[in-house]
Amino acid sequence: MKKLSLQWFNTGVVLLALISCLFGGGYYLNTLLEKEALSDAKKIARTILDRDLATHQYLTSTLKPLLFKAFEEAFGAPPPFDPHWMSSTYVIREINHFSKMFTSGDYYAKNAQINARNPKNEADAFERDFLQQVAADPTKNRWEGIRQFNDQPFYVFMEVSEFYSDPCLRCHSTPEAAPAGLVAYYGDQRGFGHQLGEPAGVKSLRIPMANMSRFTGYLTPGMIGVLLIIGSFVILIQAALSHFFVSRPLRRLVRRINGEEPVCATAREALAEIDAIHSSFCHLSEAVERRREILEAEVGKRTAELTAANEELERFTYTVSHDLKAPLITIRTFAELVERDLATSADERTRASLAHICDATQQMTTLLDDLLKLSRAGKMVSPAAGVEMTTVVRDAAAIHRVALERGKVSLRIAEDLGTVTGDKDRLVQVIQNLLDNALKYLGDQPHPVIEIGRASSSGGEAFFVRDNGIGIAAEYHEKVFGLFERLATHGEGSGVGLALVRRIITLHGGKTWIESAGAGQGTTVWFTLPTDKDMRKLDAPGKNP
Amino acid sequence: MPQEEKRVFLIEDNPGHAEIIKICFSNLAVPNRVQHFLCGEDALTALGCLGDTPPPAHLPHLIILDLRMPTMDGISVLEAIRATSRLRHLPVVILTTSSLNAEIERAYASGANDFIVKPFDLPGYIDLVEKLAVDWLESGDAS
Repeated sequence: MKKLSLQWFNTGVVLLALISCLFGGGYYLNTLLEKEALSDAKKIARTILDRDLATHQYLTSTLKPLLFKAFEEAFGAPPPFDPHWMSSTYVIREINHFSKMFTSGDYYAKNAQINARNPKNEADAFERDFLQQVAADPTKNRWEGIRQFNDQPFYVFMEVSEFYSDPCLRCHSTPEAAPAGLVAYYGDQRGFGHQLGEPAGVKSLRIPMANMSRFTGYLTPGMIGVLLIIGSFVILIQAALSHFFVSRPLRRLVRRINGEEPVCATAREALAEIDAIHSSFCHLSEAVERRREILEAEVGKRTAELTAANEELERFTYTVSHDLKAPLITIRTFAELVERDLATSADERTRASLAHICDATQQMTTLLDDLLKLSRAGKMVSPAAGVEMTTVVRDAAAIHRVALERGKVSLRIAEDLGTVTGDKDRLVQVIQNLLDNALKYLGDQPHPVIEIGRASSSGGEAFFVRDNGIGIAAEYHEKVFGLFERLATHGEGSGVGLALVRRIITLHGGKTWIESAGAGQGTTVWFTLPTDKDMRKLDAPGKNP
Repeated sequence: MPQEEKRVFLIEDNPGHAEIIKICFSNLAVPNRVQHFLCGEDALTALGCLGDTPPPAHLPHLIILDLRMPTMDGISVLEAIRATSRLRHLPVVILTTSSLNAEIERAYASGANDFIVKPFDLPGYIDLVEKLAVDWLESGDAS
């Protein structure tokens, strides 16, 4: 199944938000406007009611008494009935009529009655219902609300404020009781037959809300249209921004993770979260790359070590078969020669042969001893710890004390050799072998000197054992470290000493090399050892000296 | 007329082995003189290939050469001999404890006339020296 893309998802969310806003906002606005329209309608209703009341008050308390008095003074009799100034209902209806002519207000205002004297005041069905309800329960004499008339909404206000009383009934009970002028004017049918306590009429107002509703009705679709256009722009802009700032960087990131595009640590993304993912990925891939390099270096180092170990094993097998066989051949052949000589008694040669046999057995013993040492050098005796090199050198020098004194060798040991990490006994063995070598190859130096110190060299900070003996030609600087390799044709060396030194130093992670200007120029054997500082650092392959 | 004394150069770092070979040569019927060198450099000097030493008045009839020696090894000595035109046809027999095929091939490639693995006992040495005499000392006499 094809997954929904983030961009489409975002667009969908925005669209949904927009539609919700449109409908929610539209509804809210509509409600608000309707409320406003109702409030306006109520204000209009109040104005009309107040005006009608004021008109009624003026007529009853000012105009009517004044005119009655003037009439009686002039004619000595009450005036005949004339609704134009005697009936406030009439006057109010007329004022409303004129009012509607001058204003655009198409409101409805009426003092509605059942069996009204004037048919214009006759209550319609709605008003009649209300009047009957009030007759049944006079406490509920007011009603307001919104009603549809001819499919138009109206604010409707109805209030019954007068009930028929005795003075009222003079004109509204029977034609007989009514003034003659009234019956003559209106006839004896309409406006009669009312009872005491019956609602006299309802003040009925209907303020059209169509204007307001039309207004809100026009606004909402218009507003929706404008908002839709704005919304479309918003969606377009959102889609573009989302494409440029979200989708594209994310796809780029995916390509980088997939390795289809190079990782660029300096590239920045505009949005904080995506930039954070990007830089985290950069850090991660850098870390992975670093780890890979370290591992590769480690594998390379291990492979080199393994190859070196294999080569050494091969050389070892070969040298053992050669060098161990050589003294055995000597022993055997001279023993056979002795056997023959004993038969013929050639004393001198027998003695010489026995001397050869003794030499060969001695040589064999030395070889086997050194081989044993070498095999032990393959493993540490004690765990690596901080070792004072000065102590190591002093211990090794103590072993050679007699030889040093006998050869009148001046041994100079540097003041502070520092601390290294390693196996102390093995390190003593290193110095002991180097001292042994230096002593062996001092030659006929009249002022033999052996120096042990620590200095910067071609291979970095390293330790050295330097003598002023016979020296070593450049072509043998590497060969001397090989097993059973000797440069002298005589002497008691087995060719294991330097091989042993190299083996121990390599085991400690160090390097060994020789510097010598050549024959008669003395020899310096250098070696490195990891210091405390080195141990803390990440393992990095060192350079070959 | 007495037979000419055959000169043999023995280049061997093991003094014991050199002594045995010398003893074996001393028992040969062919009059001979074995000159022993503990290292290749000494032998090359005696042959006039190294340093300022003049070439010897008489070249050896046979050179017996060990392979594994300190400093200069047998192959290097052999190459130095073969590089000198006077010595190009000098018989050189390799005598060593090694019997590695690679070493044998290298020795022949460098111009060795023969490659012999060191015997393990006295009769072996006696046979070896007698064979050497037959191959390289007596044949020269016959020609």
